[in-house]
Amino acid sequence: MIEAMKLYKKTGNTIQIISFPGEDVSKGCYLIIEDESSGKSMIVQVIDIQFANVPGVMEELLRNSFPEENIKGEDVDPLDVTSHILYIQDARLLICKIHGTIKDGKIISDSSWLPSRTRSSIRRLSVKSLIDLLEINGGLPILLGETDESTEFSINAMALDGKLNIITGKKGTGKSHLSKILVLGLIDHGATVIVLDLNGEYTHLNLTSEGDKNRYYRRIHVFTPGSNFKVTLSQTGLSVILKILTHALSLPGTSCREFRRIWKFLEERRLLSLHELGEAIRNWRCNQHIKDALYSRYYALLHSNFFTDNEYEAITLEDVFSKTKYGGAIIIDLSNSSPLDRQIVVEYMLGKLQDLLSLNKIRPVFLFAEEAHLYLRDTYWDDIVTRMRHFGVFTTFITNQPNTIKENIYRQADNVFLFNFINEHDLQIISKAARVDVETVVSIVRDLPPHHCLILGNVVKDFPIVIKVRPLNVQTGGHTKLFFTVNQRDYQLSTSEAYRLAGES
Amino acid sequence: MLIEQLHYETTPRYNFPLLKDIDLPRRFIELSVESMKDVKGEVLNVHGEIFQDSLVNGDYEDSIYIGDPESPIRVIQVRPIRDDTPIIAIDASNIKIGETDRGILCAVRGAVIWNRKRRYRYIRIGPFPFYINAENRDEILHLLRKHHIPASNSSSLTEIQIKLGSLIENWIQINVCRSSNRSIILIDGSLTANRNSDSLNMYMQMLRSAREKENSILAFSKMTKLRVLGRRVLNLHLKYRPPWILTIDDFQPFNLHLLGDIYIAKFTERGYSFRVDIDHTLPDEEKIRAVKRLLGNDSVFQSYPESLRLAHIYSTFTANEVIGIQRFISQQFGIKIISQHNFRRSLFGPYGTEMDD
Ligand SMILES: Nc1ncnc2c1ncn2[C@@H]1O[C@H](COP(=O)(O)OP(=O)(O)OP(=O)(O)O)[C@@H](O)[C@H]1O
Ligand SMILES: [Mg+2]
Repeated sequence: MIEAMKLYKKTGNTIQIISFPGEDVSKGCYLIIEDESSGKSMIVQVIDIQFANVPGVMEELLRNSFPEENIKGEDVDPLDVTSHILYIQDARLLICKIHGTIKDGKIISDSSWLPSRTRSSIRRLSVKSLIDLLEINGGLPILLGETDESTEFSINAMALDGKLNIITGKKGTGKSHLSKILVLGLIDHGATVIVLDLNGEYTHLNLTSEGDKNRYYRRIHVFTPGSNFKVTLSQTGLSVILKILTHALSLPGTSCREFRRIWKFLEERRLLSLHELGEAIRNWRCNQHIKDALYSRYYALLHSNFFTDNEYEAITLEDVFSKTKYGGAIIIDLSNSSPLDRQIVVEYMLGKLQDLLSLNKIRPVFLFAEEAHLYLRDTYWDDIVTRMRHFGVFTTFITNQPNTIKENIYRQADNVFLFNFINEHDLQIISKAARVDVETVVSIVRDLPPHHCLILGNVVKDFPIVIKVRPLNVQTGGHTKLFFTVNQRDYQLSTSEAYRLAGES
Repeated sequence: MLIEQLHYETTPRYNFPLLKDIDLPRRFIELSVESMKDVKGEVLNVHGEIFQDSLVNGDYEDSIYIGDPESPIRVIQVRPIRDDTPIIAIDASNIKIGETDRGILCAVRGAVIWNRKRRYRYIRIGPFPFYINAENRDEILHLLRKHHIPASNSSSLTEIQIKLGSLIENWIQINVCRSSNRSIILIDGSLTANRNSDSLNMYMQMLRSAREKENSILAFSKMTKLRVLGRRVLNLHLKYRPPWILTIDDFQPFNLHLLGDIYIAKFTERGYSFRVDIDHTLPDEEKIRAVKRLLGNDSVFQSYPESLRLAHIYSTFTANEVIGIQRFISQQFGIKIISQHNFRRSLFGPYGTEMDD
């Protein structure tokens, strides 16, 4: 029989527990300290497992490590005292964080009381019981994976509503994979999701890994700027165009004012088109510097291939959104766009989104942004957590470089999904998230195997939980681009084909 | 019922020729177990005990002075002889585990290090816990005397603890002497006994066994108070380059029987000099040769033979072993343990309530 775990020490909200060989505890698991005398129980999470600082173990180890060789020998120990000595030497110290107290079957956030050393019993609290206690999985469940006790783990989609999320971890640990699970989960519950897909890896979510249509077939809408995603100037509107010119194309203020005049001039004459815009700039009477500046921006717009004068070729965001009325994802495939074009498209998307939302023309959306620092201008970060969130854009940032996400995003994040990190600097940055307990993160995240994720924040009611993310039967694609890709052609074919089929619905 | 379990198996051994014959005195183990049964239901106080070192038998320490300027002093420089002679070292230790209202709980353990061609092997014998109290002290004294450990009726419980250590040590020594051949046997201590005492018998028996098997016994004193020319032996430095041994002829202290000739040895430049006693009955060349063979076949660290150092390390109790023994006692014999030390209280559970925040 394993000897019961014992309470050793409490400092602040840290509790130290001694456990003996054979006890099945690992980092991240929860323990419950039941104190019958006070009728309360404390919920703690193991964040580190150390050797108990048994006095004299150091001498013991030194005794058994002589430089020349490992000295072999034996013990004549008729009373078998040695097994007890070894047992003591193997005692472990569990460093735990207090997460709350159960009183009368309810969880309260009290960590100030002291459980009795003599009258409390300590046992493992299964994540399943914890989930039940916390009622995490109610409402609109999204199955994310399983806990290390192999119980299924779901979050409530409502806990993502109106929220700001971060998914981060080092390269290849499964961030995008989890992000896809969230995307599909959200659309299952009828939400509209926009993905800024930097690597074109969300474009096949509507196909199984065998290439067959899956149940998302008609709900995934892939838009590739310059190909099936083009807009006209008049649909875009002056304000969004000005944003593009200022932010994506860094047009100076004076030139912007001149542009505005040109735009108004064309608009009044109902001549708003790329062609006329070019002509107008050429013939406009103004300072040559300004003219040159306007010209270069004009060519940037033109060459982006994102704008068109052909109304039949163009689509409007309203049209796009109407496809997701019952839940659907709009995947903006940015994988073939130049950095400049990406910025143009993102300015367009976000500008348009704000317009549409403020006019109540569309429902709130969930925005998934992969490596946003590559296309999101500096001023948007603040916007996203304040104004845009207010309008109804609920963003999830996905990155393997946590330092590219602005600090105030960390401070405001409601949910953080952490995959493995080993880099001390990265861990430091993550620790800035308000929902994060530094010690918990540093100690658990470092040891996370691939595809395992530590969930913090609102969705887990601030009880950090480690899960193994479930597999997903969809075509992934879009990984690092290779020069010699044999089936490049098939890949492109199927993309456009997928769109054509989706467009017919 | 525990007695029945004592038929411990003879597991495969590392070619220790000496271990075939190891068979603890049955009464010794029985006494250990019986005394432990006695402790049941008692409350054991353990605070502070574990940091104390093994207690030393200091019976003959003070009594020897060498320093009569008239005495002829000889310094012999010794050249190591490397001939693969096995070096065997023996040590034992005792420790107090705690005390009750009625007595003290202690443990003893012995260790043998066997160095053959500089490959070291160990065997540890024990630990054996003993609960020494007023009721069983006579029986323990009887056992001690039966095995030639001098013990007076007025011995304190702590003295008895020390003597239980000596018992297991002497008993291992005799076993080793009997079962090894042509080896150098290193023991901790001296070859000095009170005249007409039990220990004299014991030493004679040991030396006789050793001689029969052509073994040479060298006894090293670590903590000797022996003085030469008015200086403590441990700090003796001479102008000669080590290794050397020093001897004083015609030395016969009052009321002590010297079974060995006393030498002062310094094997390395760094480190102390030690007192070494060598079987008196060996021819002088043999005595010196034994030292040479020791130097040639064992490592010497800070002037002290490595085998003997290891024997000391292996027999000494570390703090966690003491805790392990306490756990053994509390589990097997249902004793309650009280400690001011938080860690142990946590290990042994519910005898304290307050927690430090
Ligand atoms: N839970 C999972 N079960 C099975 N396979 C997974 C899981 N998570 C990720 N994978 C697979 O592991 C690989 C890497 O995953 P993913 O692309 O999501 O990593 P990432 O963290 O986004 O990497 P990067 O930093 O390069 O963007 C992919 O092939 C993905 O299909
Ligand atoms: Mg990725």
